[in-house]
Amino acid sequence: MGLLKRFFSKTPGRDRIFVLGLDGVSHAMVSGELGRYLVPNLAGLLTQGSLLPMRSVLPTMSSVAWATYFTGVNPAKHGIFGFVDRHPDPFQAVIPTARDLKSLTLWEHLSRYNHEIGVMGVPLTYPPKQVNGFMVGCFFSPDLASATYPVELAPRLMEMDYRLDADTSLARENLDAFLADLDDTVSRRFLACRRLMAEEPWDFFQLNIISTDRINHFLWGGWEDGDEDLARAFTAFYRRLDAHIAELIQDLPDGCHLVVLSDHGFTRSAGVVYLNQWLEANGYLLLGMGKKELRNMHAETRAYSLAPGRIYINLEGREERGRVPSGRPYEDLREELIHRLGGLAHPETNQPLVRAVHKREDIYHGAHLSRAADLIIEPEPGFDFKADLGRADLVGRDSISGTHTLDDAFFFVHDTELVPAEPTTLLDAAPTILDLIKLPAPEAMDGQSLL
Amino acid sequence: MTRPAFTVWITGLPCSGKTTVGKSLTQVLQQRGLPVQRLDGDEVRRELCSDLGFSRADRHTNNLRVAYVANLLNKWGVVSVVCQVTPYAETRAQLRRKITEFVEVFLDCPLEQLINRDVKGHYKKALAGEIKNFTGINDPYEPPEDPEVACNTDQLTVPQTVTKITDYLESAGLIGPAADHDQEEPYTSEQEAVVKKRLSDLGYL
Repeated sequence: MGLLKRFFSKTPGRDRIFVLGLDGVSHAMVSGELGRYLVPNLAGLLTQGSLLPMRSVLPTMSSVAWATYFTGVNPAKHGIFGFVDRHPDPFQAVIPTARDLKSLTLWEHLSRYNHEIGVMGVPLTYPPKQVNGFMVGCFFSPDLASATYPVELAPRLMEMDYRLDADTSLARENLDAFLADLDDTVSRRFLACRRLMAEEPWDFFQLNIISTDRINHFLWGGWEDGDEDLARAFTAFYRRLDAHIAELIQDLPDGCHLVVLSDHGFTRSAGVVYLNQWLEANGYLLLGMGKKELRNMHAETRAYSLAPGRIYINLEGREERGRVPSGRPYEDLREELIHRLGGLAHPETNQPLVRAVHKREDIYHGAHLSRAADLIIEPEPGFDFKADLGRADLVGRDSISGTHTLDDAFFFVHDTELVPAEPTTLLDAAPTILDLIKLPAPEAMDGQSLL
Repeated sequence: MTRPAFTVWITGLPCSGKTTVGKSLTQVLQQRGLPVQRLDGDEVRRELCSDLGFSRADRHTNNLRVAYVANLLNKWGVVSVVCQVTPYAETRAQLRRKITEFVEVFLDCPLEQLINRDVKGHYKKALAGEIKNFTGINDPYEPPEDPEVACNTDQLTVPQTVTKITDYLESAGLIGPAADHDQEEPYTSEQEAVVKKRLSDLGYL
């Protein structure tokens, strides 16, 4: 505990802040007995301040969640609704990037106040924005050379063998190689972070770790089942991460505020639900005899889905071959789907698959609401909704044994008393961070400071 | 005086992608600041040629009426993007004479794939004999011998097809090169493939 003592003995200086983002690390993993076992240093640190469970966002995906965090607004304002989106006419699936963000980011806001910032690895920061400081993009960056602002930063990171992400294709082929790759990615990221912290001026620094999400996806099941090798590998990964965090905390300058948060929780995967299979089997989605692709969907289609659990009505005047008229027919179809999908159950175990089916206007508000899916499914924890076409069964399994949860992300501020909101959500993080460093939050932000 | 524009005439069998490519091309040209009017087969038949059927003579008349409108638009600087089957070589030769700047784009695709695609369900009906004079099944299509641009839509994606067309338009001096902001797409197609693979490995797509 020597390092904690050293950290707390530092004297307060000007308002600097370090934010550590741990992708997919649940509140349960860092608190209580499990926290003390898995990440002892971090769990100890988290007792010295306010640690709150936090609600993520629907759909519960890292890009949507982090965009919600760093804009402080809901998806209908920031415009990011999933890892994949679609242009309706002509139909085209697209991968949204930071260029599709419609709201001011925390980094831009801080830059306007002349705060010097450093941001590393936060999802949806590619292409990197021009900020007062530097940015290293996320795993959406095609390569390191195009991932940094300013561009001169890229060669320095290359010298450190910085990695944007581990190679997750290894997880299905060679688990040992995958684990080694994850460790490598994490240690290089901490190394680069500590160097940049020392060499660059900054008032606001955010480091994100994505490898936590990756190991959770692939090893959660083995860990929870007590599989000897997998559980050992899982624990060892978190212990090493914990050691890196401890070293990093030691490097923090005097009086620096510290925030640690995650974007969503995790749980054991109970199954993968192929929603388009259901839509097809029930006559809502019609595909031709040829290659099964959404862009080839038949004009008689009434609804289709993108992952995870986003349903689009084939609306006349909006979709390429839209056929459902707006107004009453559109509303009736939404009601019908809400009713039918709400009762969806596992064909073998009869477990409910859906906790709720939301109309977009009930969970989002803002200028870009019309771009959201017409219905958004909130799954029962453990069930992951996918959009694969041509699946034979409604529910399947795959090698991904852990899946995202909505309710148990966490938010921690060191040495500060927080007043939880009812419930605390990702929207509250940015206003709280700005309040900590005594800056006003933009009026458009949806959340509130917890100070 | 307004600089006269040109007509991109997209010909091909039903379901070869004329409307999809035409819409996308229209968007791309509009993003480059050009005024563009799309003249699509279905809409033209409804609004301008509802008196015409699908005989050889009627198809010919239909195409020539559209050519007249397209050329009028061109005269006032509006680019025309026409999406029509236009099955006869003789008709297309006449279009070329009538339209001052005529760019013929041929969307080629194996019939088998078109039957599979069949987004409107017309091939199925034609094969069942429910539609007569259906091009490709029971009505002829004479493929262009020397179009300005030929694209196999079985192999090219829609963006690739559109790029092939705009590349031609640039090389022919009909449009200027893309402004800088157009070239700054977040991903090249190779980069997008890399990112999609990454997301797919995680089961996110």
